[in-house]
Amino acid sequence: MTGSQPFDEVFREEFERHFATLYRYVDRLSGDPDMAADIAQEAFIRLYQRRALPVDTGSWLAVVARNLFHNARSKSKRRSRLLAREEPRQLTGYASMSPETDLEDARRRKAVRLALDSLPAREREMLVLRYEGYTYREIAQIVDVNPASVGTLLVRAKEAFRRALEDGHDATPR
Amino acid sequence: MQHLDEESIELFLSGELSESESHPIRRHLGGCQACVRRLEAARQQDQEIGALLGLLDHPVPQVDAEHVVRRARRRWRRPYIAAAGIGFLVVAGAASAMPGSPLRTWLARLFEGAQETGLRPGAPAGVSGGISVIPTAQFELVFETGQESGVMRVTVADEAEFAVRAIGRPPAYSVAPEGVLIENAGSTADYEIVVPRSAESIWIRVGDYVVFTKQGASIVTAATPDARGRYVLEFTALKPATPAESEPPDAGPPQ
Repeated sequence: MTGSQPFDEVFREEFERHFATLYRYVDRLSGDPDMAADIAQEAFIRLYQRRALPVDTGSWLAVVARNLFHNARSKSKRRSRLLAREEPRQLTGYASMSPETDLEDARRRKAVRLALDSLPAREREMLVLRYEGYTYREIAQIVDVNPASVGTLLVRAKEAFRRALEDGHDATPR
Repeated sequence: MQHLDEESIELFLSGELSESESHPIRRHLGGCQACVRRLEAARQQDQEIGALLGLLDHPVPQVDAEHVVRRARRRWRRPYIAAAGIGFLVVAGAASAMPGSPLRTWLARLFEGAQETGLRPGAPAGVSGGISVIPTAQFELVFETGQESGVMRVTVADEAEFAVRAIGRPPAYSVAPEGVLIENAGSTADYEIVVPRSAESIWIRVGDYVVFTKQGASIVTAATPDARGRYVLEFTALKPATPAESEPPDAGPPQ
């Protein structure tokens, strides 16, 4: 934020920079696009009301979104309902080619969802953050772990994810 | 050098290592085909996991920043007395300050001061109003818009609470965890403002125009303190660099 730049202008720039990433983070974490959209917007509302940028806007937004997600999840047992709601959805980048393709896509998505949800919360979050492009420093800040241990924890998370996929159905992309 | 462990391979693939940190890894890879194969396998696994997680993605909704700004502003306007973690007191008149509150003494002192200095009291105590809160680490007082007349007098004092009192027709106050919004459109009131000396970061804005800041012990404002140590800012003398935007019609969904 530059000295004389009005905050509203700065806010709009930050919104354009971070909204999609924040939405995908919560979407992958929750499996609920509606919840993800609500939470991402709520995080930006809180940023706007703050009227000043934090030191690291991306991490700050992710921390707020993560807290909102945990609060929402603890208030209701949404997860199982979300999973049930997931199947009929059409996903980005996977336009319908044939009923067989749709069915196969749905099967693979469900396998990935189950594998991800089977991980301990911290490993799941770190995995999602890592593949959404957050840096180690940001991941450490968001999930509140020692930055020096992020690499080790990510190795563990990837291995757990791979095992969970093997234990479930094969979902390897083709 | 021993074979690379999994963490070194993860760090190397992440691209987060500095040149000096990655140099010994590159050197080892130059002479160890086993580790090159493990690195390639890990790289492939990385790509596969990325693609698998991508299967979960839904289209990013087309949300306009303006829509979020409108929602945030609407919330500013919603007074919520039970704001978490914030001391809160609404005063309908100088006489209604809670017994025992530092505000009571302060309001009385201010009112005396107003009469002493010929400050336009505007009306009897019954039509003056104020608000007092414990400021958060970064706290802001926002006047929604400028005024055709009126002044704000800012006093930095050894008080625990941030307080603002309108002298004249009382405006509406809204409190959020990190600030107070004064809906002063059409008002000609004067304002007495007390900033706790201990407050870390206080900003006072008129629209988007910052007229007073206190960061630690450092105070920045166009006004110089008067004989009583108050910073007096006249609304008519303020020239907002970016006037507060008018509220656009709400096109967003209800919250």
